[in-house]
Amino acid sequence: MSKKQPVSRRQFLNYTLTGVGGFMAAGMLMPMVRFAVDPVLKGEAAGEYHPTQQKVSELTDTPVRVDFSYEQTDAWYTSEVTHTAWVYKNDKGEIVALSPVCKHLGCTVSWEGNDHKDKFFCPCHNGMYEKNGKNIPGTPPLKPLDVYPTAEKGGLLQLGKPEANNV
Amino acid sequence: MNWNGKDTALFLQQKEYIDTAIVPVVPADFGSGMIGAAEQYEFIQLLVTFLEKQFKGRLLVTPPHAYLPDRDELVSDAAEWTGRLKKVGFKHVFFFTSDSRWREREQETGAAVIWVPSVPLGDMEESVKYSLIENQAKQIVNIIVQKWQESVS
Repeated sequence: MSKKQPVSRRQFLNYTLTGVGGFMAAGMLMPMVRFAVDPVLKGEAAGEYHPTQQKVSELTDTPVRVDFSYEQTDAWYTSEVTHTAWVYKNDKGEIVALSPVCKHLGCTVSWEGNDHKDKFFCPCHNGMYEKNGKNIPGTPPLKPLDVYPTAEKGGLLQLGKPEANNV
Repeated sequence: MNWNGKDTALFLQQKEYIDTAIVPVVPADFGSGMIGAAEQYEFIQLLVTFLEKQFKGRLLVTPPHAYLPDRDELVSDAAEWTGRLKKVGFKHVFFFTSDSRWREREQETGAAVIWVPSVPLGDMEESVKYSLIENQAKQIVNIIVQKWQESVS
């Protein structure tokens, strides 16, 4: 009778326990591995660029206002925020996107506001900036306007996170 | 400047530059006018948020002044707000409201009352809502800039 049993009771139990144990271990390890490599996978997807509706081909050397919005989470409150950029092409044909936030106390500047030719003007305390964003000495702002990193996708302009300007 | 810890700290440092206070004036009606009152609040808050973004460096948005619409002391309470704001150095105090009664009693409040008829925003789409508020706000921007220029000359 014992010869008819090629698998002994002990072996059978060993096999099944290993099998079931293996599944359980895999069930625990898989999510851990996935969490561990997650930052690597995320790095590949978009460099935090937000799409706008501005066609790159329509940009000229006169700054235009570009509004763009995206979802932002503030604690547990998610809302759609709208940001603005002043975008133009410089002498070399490169796209320049300036943040409209005045470096003095954070008002919104506008191009040729209040009839100041070829300048960005801040209505709060009469701050002024050159076209390239450089602050004009003698007016309140102490730093040049921030610049957005730019990208192009399907002919449309994309803007990243504003950075300090070195002009 | 908004009414939060960070902005008010900056305000105290840069007081000389920030000479304008904006007070949202909203009714606290818990009776039959509740919906209207809530709509007014929603509208005024959005409008004020937009203006704050434009003129962050020169104005402080105070906490809303909520009033019980049927109380008699209504105007004197508001005048007290104006008085205290002017005392700490604000040259311009604006009341933003959708209640037309304030417009009639502007003199007594001591502030510049800007009356904006409220629009029920309800289920309006974000983009429509935004452009609606922006259009309203642009006209108010001019009023504020004009007040600033008047005080210079």
